[in-house]
Amino acid sequence: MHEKLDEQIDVLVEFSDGKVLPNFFRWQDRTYKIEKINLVHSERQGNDKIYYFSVSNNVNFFRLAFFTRDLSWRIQELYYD
Amino acid sequence: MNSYFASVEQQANPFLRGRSVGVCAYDSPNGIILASSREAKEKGIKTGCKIINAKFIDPDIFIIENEPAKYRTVTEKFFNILRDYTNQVEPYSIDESFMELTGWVKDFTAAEKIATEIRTRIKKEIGEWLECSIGISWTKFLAKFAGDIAPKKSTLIIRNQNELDAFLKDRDLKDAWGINKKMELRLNSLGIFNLSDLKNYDYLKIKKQLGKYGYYLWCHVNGQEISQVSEKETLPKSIGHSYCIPKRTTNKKYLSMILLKLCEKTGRRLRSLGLEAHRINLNLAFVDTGGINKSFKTAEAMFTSEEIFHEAEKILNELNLYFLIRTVAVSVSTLSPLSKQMTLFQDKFSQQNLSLALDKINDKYGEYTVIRGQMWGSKDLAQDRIGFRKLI
Repeated sequence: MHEKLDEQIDVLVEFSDGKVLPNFFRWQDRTYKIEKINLVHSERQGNDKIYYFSVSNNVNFFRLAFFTRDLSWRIQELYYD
Repeated sequence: MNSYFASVEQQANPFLRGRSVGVCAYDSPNGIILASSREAKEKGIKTGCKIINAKFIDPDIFIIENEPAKYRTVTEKFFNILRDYTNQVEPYSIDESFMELTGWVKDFTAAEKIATEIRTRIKKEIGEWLECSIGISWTKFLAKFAGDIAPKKSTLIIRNQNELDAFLKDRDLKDAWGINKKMELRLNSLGIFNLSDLKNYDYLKIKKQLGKYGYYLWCHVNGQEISQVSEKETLPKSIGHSYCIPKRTTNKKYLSMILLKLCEKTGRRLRSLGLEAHRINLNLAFVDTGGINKSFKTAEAMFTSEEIFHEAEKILNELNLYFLIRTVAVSVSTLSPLSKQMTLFQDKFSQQNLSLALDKINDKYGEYTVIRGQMWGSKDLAQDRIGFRKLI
């Protein structure tokens, strides 16, 4: 199943080794542990720089986006078999 | 990099690994696969395959719309790895690069060690699913040739003329960088049917028959260096954009709106390089086969998007369109640095300055923050894409 989303989430992030590592996020009253950060990429949209984290646990893939303009996190994509 | 766009998508989403993935511009039945994963290629789904056909071949294929920002980020990361080994790195495309190692390593064995280290670092620092093929030799052409014929995920070295002869033996002419179907036919007319034939041909004869370009090809396959690896960006020969339109049509008003957007994108890139252009080219491809291609030198240099559009639209208006159009492409060439020469047309400078000011606004607040009225409604047309053999 593959869904495009655009919803605000809460994220617990670790800053270590010069990296930004989201560890958990809360979405629709559920907390998800992030097992792996597979890819991080970024993009400029006008004045805003957005960082996209492609993450997964052993069941789901999620794409999380961090907006530097207002320091918010959003979930943008979900995939599971 | 091997199966680049698809591999990046599989790196991002591990549930796509091991299955067919097709990266496209638009996910629609008549959309075209831009890049397919290794698994899809093994089933015969290659670049250019229609999505509807790909799904027929493999109903389980996962189709994903391409995301240029993702690939550009990964490309920048792997170019940064390469820059740790030499200060002469020449990007060739979004997924290929040349590195000059002369003076940094003492022999091919040391170069091979670097190749292995690069491959390991790409996996460790960027993504474990990403693979590359590496070619090493004593000229730029031979290194590319080696990289192109190397098996996936491996390094191929051509150390000397004996090894070169072995690799060129019975090798198809089109396996060589710079030889397309048209050049192949010209070489065939000289009795050259494979790369060994080309290597052994009389260089004076080939220079006489095919000019400088033929001579360069001869030099390449004979292991003579023609061009050095250069980290400096050279002026492009042309700048342009194309768009496979969603609505097949002969409607000139619709085509004009698309043309305007393509001219705006072309103009943006032209201005960002501080260049002006003196030649315009318009290409319209028909739905079935064939198309129209018109090109001419313009009376005045083009710099603003309006100037480019004015010339391109002139061509479009003169055409009689009897067949449905599927692709519109515009490009400008004969480029030179922006001239500050005075003209009789006083408002030219103010138009140039206006274009530059609009570019600054769009750079700061986002593309198409300020647009011309004629472009209203075109936001979803001709979106950001990475062109073939392009970096951006």
